[in-house]
Amino acid sequence: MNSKSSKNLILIISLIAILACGVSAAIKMANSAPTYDGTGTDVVGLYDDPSTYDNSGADGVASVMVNENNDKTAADNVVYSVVFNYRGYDTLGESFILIGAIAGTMAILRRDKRRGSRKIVYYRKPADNSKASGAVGMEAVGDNDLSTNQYKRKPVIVRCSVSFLMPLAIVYGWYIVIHGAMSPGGGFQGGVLAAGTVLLVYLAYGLTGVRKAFNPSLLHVTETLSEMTYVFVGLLGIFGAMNFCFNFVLSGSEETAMIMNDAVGYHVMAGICCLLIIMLEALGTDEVLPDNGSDNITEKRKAVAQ
Amino acid sequence: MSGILVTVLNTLVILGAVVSAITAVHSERLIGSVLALAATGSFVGLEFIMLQAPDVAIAEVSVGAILSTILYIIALRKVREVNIRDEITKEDAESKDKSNDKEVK
Amino acid sequence: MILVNYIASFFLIALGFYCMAVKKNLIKICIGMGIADYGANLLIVSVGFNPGGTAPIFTMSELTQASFFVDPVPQALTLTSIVIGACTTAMTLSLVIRLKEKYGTLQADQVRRLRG
Repeated sequence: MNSKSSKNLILIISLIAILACGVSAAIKMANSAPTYDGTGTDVVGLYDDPSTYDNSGADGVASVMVNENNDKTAADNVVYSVVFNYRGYDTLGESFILIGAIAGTMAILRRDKRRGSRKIVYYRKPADNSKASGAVGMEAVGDNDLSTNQYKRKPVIVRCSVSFLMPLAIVYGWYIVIHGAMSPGGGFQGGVLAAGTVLLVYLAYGLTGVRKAFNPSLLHVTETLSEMTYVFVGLLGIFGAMNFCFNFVLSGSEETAMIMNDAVGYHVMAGICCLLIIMLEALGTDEVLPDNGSDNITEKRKAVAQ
Repeated sequence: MSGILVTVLNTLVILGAVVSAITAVHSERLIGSVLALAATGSFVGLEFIMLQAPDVAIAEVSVGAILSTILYIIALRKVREVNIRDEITKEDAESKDKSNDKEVK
Repeated sequence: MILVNYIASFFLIALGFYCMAVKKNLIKICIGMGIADYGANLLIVSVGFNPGGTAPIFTMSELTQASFFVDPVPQALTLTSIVIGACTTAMTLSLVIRLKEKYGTLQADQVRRLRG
């Protein structure tokens, strides 16, 4: 036990050292002068007439970005223009990480066709309420083979509510994607919200409904196509002898970042839909009505490993 | 007066996040840890709103408090640590051991 | 420059590392990774906060004559970090599912002992 206690001691000492260094750095940061002190930015004057604004006294990168935002981009949301316009290369890397995660999950959770799904056999306890628990005295009433049995439906309240809520979910997600330039939002946030549709369909119609409603291979292909759109639109700036993600459409209230925003929004939505479908398929099959159609609540199901 | 109120509110939200994180680490049951993680994500999202970052707050709440929790619950169901339906397995029926949602440290 | 935020974010990072290093259940290790992600994101956004600043969005209702912004660059970097955290959570959980199927247990020291 001596090595285990000395290992614990080293662990505790190193964690306390990390915490102490962090706290001392925090106190030193709080007491020093800030690098960006934007008190010199007259925002109302900047918004009224951005071309005559004098940004020669700018301090820090953020001040320059805020001052030039109304000139060089057509977006009101500075964070949106930082993500898609000034630092579009980071967004490209982040999109590739999402593709990599989905490919990895698909590779790990792939189900062998040889093994098949779990076979569940339904039993019913005997009519006399004897004290025998466990496997004694149970009679088999059916199994979960979907080809011979009927799939059990969810309650009607859930089905009606989801039929009402599903278009609202999609519209709300895409509303946040499209209005990313004017209000808080953008591609990532709206994509994740719009991908909640898969969970709503799973809640109301089970795995059978998810398989009928979504096509994972089509989603995956269109996801990679939208990612290629992002790369292509970004590369058009390089082909035109400018920088990556150059704003070449800028006129009035349109800009290149809108195309890239929509591409990333669809990419994130399709990606997270694929991820959820993969994990829900790994979960198992639906409940099935037994052959005689009884919903006897004293029935307990007993799983037989294949 | 508004300066003191904002400071107190900020401290309360941060305290909530820290307490939920400690609950997530030291809870006995795995489902309790997952729900405490969702609570931590919600508190951190609320803190992001108070730090004047609405984009980041939307992303944090939708990813950390909703999507991540759902992935954890699907994984917990798959490794049979949580019984959603009234289902007993062959081993459970024979060994009469129905409380299999506690973790052994 | 809020001191409480910095201390709490470093505490969350240290708590996440403690959970990853000490706990034996595989799902607890994933939860520790998630807590460290929360701490790091909170730290990045707290660094870019100016007391008295408003959100960096040009809307007419929020502008006053002397308003200035909080820093928009750390917020953009935090968006990327949040999505990366979600991706690593998904991949780690799929690995945990596979480990449980293959070894039959979720304790980390028993997984190491059983060989194939």
